[in-house]
Amino acid sequence: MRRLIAALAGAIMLLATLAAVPAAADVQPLFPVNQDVTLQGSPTYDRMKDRDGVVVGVKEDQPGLGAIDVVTGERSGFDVDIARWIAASLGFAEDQITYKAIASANREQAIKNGDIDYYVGTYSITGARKKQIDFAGPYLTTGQSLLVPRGSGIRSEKDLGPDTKVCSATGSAPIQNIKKAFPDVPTTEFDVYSACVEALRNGQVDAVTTDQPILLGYAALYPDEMEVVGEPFTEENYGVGLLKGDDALRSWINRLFTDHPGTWQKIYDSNLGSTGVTIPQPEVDNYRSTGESSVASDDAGPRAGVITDNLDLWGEALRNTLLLFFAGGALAVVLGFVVGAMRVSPVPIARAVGAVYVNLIRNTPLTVIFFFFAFGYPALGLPTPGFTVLAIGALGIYTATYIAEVIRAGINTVPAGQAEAARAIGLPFTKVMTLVVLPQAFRSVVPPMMSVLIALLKNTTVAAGFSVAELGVIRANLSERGEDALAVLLCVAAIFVVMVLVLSAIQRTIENRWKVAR
Amino acid sequence: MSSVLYDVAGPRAIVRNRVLGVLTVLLVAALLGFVIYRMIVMGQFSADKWEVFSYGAVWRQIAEATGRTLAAFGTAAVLSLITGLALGIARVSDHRWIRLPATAVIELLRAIPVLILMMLLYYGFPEFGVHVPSYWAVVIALTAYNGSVLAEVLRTGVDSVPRGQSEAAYAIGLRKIGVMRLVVLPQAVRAMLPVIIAQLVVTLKDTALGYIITYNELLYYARLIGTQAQYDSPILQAGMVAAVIYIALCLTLAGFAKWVEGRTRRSPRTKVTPAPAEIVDEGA
Amino acid sequence: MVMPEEGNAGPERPLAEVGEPLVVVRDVQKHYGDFLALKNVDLTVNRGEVVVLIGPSGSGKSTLCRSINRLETITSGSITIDGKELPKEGRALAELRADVGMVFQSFNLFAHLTILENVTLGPINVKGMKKKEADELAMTHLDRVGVGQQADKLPAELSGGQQQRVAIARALAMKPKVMLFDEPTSALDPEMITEVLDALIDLAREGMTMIVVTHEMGFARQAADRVVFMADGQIVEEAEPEQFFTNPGSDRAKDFLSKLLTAH
Repeated sequence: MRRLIAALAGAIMLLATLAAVPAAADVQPLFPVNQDVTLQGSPTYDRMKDRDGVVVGVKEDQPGLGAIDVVTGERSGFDVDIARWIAASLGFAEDQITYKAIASANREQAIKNGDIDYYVGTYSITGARKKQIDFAGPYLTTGQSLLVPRGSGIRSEKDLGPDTKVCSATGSAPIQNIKKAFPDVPTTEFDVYSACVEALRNGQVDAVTTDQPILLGYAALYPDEMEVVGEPFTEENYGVGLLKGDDALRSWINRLFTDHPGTWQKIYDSNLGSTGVTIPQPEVDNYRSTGESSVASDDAGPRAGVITDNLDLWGEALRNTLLLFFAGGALAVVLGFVVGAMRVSPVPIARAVGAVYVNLIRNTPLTVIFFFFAFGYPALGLPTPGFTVLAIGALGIYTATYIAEVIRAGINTVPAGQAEAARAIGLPFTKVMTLVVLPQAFRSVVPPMMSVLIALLKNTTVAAGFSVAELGVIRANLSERGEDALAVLLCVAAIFVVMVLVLSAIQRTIENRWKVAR
Repeated sequence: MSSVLYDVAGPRAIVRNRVLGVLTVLLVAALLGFVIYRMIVMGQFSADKWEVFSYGAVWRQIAEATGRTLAAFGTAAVLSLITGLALGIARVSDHRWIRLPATAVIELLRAIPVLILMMLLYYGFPEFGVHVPSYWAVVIALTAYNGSVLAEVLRTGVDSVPRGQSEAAYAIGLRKIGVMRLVVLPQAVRAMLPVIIAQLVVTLKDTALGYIITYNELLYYARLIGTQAQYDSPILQAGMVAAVIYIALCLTLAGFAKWVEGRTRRSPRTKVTPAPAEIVDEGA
Repeated sequence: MVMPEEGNAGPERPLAEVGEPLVVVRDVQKHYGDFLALKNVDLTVNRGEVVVLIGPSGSGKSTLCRSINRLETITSGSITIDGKELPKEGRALAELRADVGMVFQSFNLFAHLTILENVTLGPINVKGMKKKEADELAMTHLDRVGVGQQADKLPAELSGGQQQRVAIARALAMKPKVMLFDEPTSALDPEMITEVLDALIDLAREGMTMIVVTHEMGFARQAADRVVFMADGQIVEEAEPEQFFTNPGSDRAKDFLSKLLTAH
């Protein structure tokens, strides 16, 4: 340890010299790379040494905390600098660090898999997570706060009322807290915080709420436009995610935080200092590790409890899946009929519009359509109906193209002579359609229509990528509760197989009953 | 088009059709106009929102992300063709003990949503120590699903080859394998080629599901660009760029399917009429 | 092609029954793009008359037949039925079509309806007849063409000849002023042609005004008042059947008849 301090001191001296020659270094390192590291008994450190490099899990879409500049490729932010600091303390320079962006939902998995050596990125220490991994730190204690335009009347959460619209990420804990604590405050939800910040800048919402550091990151981007107000009204502790049981590395990082408050402060100031908000460095929590990871996972193996213990979540997931299926299906059928009619209409322009719509949407991945509904729609600044409604829209618009084609093909299977004969006995157009063409088309439309609906049912899972709590997303929710992902996903797959089999059986019955003999 | 549905337009019908045509144009124009108007109001066309696309580095990374999309597609396409051929042949086998398991596997894989398959591989398999990188999770899931769809396509193709073809092949002394390999399969594949390519369009589209399990493909990169607050969070713009690339890729492949369909239809080398290049089974 | 009851030649119906003009086609042209399908066609069919349109394929005879109830539109000229100009669209056109019965080459029975429903569809939905009344009417016509027993079956369960007779009954149930037959026996197996032609001959005997596109010379000789020979969209020759078949006036007709006969 003394050696480390000596090295640090030396480095600071070096820094001071460098600072005197501004041209020599545009970016001043906040901390030196430790040249002489002795760390025994850490499997993670052994792995780093073997590959002569560190793999760090970070966020890259959180300005001020963990962000990448897509133009320069540079990573910056408080969390990223903390990650760099840890790497430097272990003797790894910037060119030996590999950054991996890990989505929030995959963090525990990535650590358990060994994809990353450690994770720094707004990672709250919770009991459920501690069952799967270990945490060093906390390196930041914070809580929910409010981001408001500079000089607005809102000074703290107490100023929220029926006239102040609050925005946060869909389904996140902060939005739940607001709904619970302030039931009469109107809320808006977007899939990403940046959409909320956009809405705030456009005046569509009056405040954005989430963990204070995240808000500070945005405030640092627009220091003249917005500010973070109020004391945090919940408590979150950000830690460094580590492989469970690697106590040696955990203590190493904890000591680093404890022994060098000056470095911590420099990192804070350079990233979030411009916001004017000061946060003290928290005291690290040297909790006793619960030991081998197998202890936790043994009782988490596949078991009936996956479903029976979590009936609330499964119920909600199944309900939402069925809601997406039926509402999306209804929209698709209505829209599909309109477009199908346009496709066979005597109006050339209507036919062309129908053809363009069908060919464009059918050649766009459903995920991209969801992307536009989830991220593009908010950018239009229109009233936000909530993401479930938007997901229904995306599914409906996508599936409608298939319905339209099924209807068009169905009408085309009716031989031309049928309509001619109907006209020849004097039936007017509407009756030709309702009495002769459509009844016959209907029979050849229903079986393929059922195939389209089966595809729709399966497609509802895509909403999982866009925060609708349906069956596709239940894995993430249950992993928060410490359930086994494999068991959960196998159950989901089984539910879909059963639902698809039921629909297929209905399809076969209809097909046999309504075959048109010709 | 199906002009048989209605009479040849008389003078009143011509006027009515024109009015309907104008109304359609107005409706579409109003809808598009409204969206564009809102985009203008919200400054979505401002230079700031598009600035990030003026850097070569960004386009290089878009190209790389597109490359990762195409890499997953290419591998999955080749593997699903192989899987489809194997499962398809097993599906039409004369032996029950081959045919029934093959049928069960095909039906099962077709019933599970591709995304759930991907999640099973990516999140589920590590539970028993098998770590599947996101790229392979995407590729394997797409292969499993599209392979089983292609197996069904192949079976339909085999069924569509007239009995006389295989009877004639047996009659000249070929054995079962020879009949399949030399006579039935070439015709079945030829007939189904447009459908097979159309199914590959589905495969290409479904690579975008990789976004959800964080495979670093085109849409994933578009979202990253969209969260760049220092470039004014151009998420709608990034989505538009990604959509244009996806649509261009899919249309190219779909156009190829149509071309093959036309060529096959004109070719005298099969007794089977090619199935239209409509997408029979939708993925995702 | 079969020539029924050879030797029983000549129209059996006295020409005296033929009355005033019912269908008048005047100077009709029909273009398909650059192609001229009908060229200066003039044709008058009198009440009670049976006219057979004959000619090589592509000669415009089907187009002319289909123009008479406006399943095809004409480019210029006029077509009047019972003194009224053919309406261009809408309710008036539908009403006119109710007065013009049409029988197609491919029967075109409504595949999803029973035989009885096929026949009652028009009377109920166009003429507003009660179902019971329409059923009785339909049964009368079905019995008349000899398919009354099949009333509850679906079209696909009937033979081609039976289907075509149902199609005749369906047209008759509308009590048309004139009946158009567009190659009514071309899609039939040889053994079924006679049963359909017999139904046509019966109709002719009862005085129905008929325009028949057919190559059945036996039928033409037995039932037609007049044969109209078309080629290249034009009417080349009009004559009484006996005269036409034994001594056609034009080279085109001679050529056509010789090919028709050698084909047998």
